[in-house]
Amino acid sequence: MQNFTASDEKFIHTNVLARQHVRRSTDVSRKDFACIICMSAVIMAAFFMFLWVRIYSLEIGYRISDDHSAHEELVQENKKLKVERAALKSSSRLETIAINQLGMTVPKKTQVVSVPW
Amino acid sequence: MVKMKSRNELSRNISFIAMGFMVLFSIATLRAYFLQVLKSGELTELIQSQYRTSVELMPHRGTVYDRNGAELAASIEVESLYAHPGLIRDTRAAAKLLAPILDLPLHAVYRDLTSSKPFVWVQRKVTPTQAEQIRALKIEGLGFLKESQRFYPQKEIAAQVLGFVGVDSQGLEGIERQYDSIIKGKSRKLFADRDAKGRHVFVEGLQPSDQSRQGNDLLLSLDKNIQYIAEKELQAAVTLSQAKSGTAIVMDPWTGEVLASAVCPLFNPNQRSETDPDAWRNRAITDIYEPGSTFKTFSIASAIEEGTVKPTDMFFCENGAYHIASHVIHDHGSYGWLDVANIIKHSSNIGASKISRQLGKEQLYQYIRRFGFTAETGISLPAEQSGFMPSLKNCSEHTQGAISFGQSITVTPLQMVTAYSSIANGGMLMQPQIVKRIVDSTGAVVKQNTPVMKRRVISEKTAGIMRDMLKQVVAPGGTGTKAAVEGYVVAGKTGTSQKIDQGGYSHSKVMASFAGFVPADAPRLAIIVLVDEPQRMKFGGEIAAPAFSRMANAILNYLHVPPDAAPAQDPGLLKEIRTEPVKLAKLDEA
Repeated sequence: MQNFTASDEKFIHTNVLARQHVRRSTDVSRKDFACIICMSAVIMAAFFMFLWVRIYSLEIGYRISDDHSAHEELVQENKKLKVERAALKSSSRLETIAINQLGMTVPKKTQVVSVPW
Repeated sequence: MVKMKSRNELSRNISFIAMGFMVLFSIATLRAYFLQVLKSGELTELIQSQYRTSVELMPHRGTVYDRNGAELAASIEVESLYAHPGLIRDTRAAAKLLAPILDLPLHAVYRDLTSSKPFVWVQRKVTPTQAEQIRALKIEGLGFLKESQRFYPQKEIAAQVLGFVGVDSQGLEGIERQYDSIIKGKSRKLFADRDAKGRHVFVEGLQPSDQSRQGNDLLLSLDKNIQYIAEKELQAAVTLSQAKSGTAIVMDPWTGEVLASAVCPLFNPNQRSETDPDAWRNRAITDIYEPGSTFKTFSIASAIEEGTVKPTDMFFCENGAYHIASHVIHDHGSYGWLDVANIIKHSSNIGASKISRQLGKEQLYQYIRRFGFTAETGISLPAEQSGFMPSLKNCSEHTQGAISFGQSITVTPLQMVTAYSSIANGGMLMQPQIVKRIVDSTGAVVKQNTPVMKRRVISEKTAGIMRDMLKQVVAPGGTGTKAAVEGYVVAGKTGTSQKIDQGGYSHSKVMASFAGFVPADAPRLAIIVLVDEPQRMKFGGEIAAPAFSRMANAILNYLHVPPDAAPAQDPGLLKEIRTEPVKLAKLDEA
């Protein structure tokens, strides 16, 4: 039987207790490990969700940009066509075509009958 | 003891390290506070400037329509060529390629391309063909930006009324200038992210108020077909008489709406740089003239309204020469006794002068003002003149006489046609209007102009008397017989006034005019035709009256106004019309 001094006993006691405490702590960590994994998975899922939303909004942004450009072009095209139509319907042009190409003339008073409504 | 000492030392070291970490953490915390809180706004802007950008949307200038919705002025986008001179490798070769396409001198293009500025316009608003040709050259350092270009699809039609815009789409003349703030629209910015390729990505979508940059549209009272008729006939009169210029206005006498306002010489606002700036002026409102005999209508109407003269009263017209103080008033014929109707019919200056003496100059002045002379009409067009009349205290007996037959007073053509409209509509002076409606880009009405009666000038009875007298001017024996329109009764008055030249009245320079309304008893049109300095056919009855007739005839036809007296119909045409229902019935059966 080995004799330990008081300080040795204290040292052994402290270390044994500490190891027991560590072992106990390690046991707790293992229990929570699954929980941590789950938490991590949720966080990762949220991260990927955020990433997906970001990419999707970017894609929508591109579509809006394209549609906006197309809309602007169509509006301008529409305006150009309206201006062209107005130019084609100008009174001087129509009169020239009516007289020179179609051989039309302004009707005389005797050729006009006013029909009362 | 040694172990204990080493353990204490370890604990102390750990404490030091922990303190070090604490200090570092505190510094990091303070720095984070500095960056995240104190410098937050500045840094956010800085980072956003790296990837965020704004897209400036050009304002869309509103369209100007005639009363039937035909486009008179519209804007479309065109491209402008710019250069970053520093990026062009061979400027000489680039200039040689660009100059012929742009139809510019080589040295001008070369000067632009060698400019020390980082950005220069080479040519604003190039044609689509030019843009295509330049793109095909693939010259580095050149680019295109979109700009708004104003087009006038009806070309010369109503050019002086519409005016035009400058290179930056700012209104410079006419309606374009007067309504610039209403039709120009506002540029606005859309915020977008910028990707690695510099493309815009609207991650926040587009703001819903995208329409705000669109200027309002204007709907004018002008009718492009009536305007065309007025311009065509006025041009014919000016050419025929070899005149300097001409003006014609067609007004709806009941509403004061201007249906046409023609000024000759014409110009095409799409190519205004190629025309004389003198042609840009809207003479209908900016030029004043002495109206001559067309003014007698108002001095006589005033006297009848006041009861100082009755239509049956007789006046001795001094056989053509009437002395007032040191002045002599002449008639163009030698007339003896004339009643009021014949004074108008034969356009006697002496008769008009005597009638105004009976009226009194205070009353004459009052009525002239009530008819709208010597004051702006208030039509919404820029640079309108008010006209001039000597002050009452400076009005001598001779001046009063001269005013009564349209000398010593100046008016604008618009004032004159508005005053004739008041005779036509039974005595009401209407506010002349050129803009019927202002609408926004969605079609909602922003402002609707309704007819405004400024005041009653004369009674319906007096207006009726004047109408009958003015009919006599166009009847056989009158000065305005050439203003007659087949099938319709015309009421009007001729005018031939000498122009002031070198301090006195010129014998060669005159203003020939005719003002009147038709059909006389149910007026639809009030028209004034004014020919400035005709070299041939110098009298109003010779050149302006026939132009009035042709104009009125074509416009009444266009408006389907039934004639006062139905003309003899072509029997073949009537037969054809009677058989029309049968033809339609047969079509239905088929």
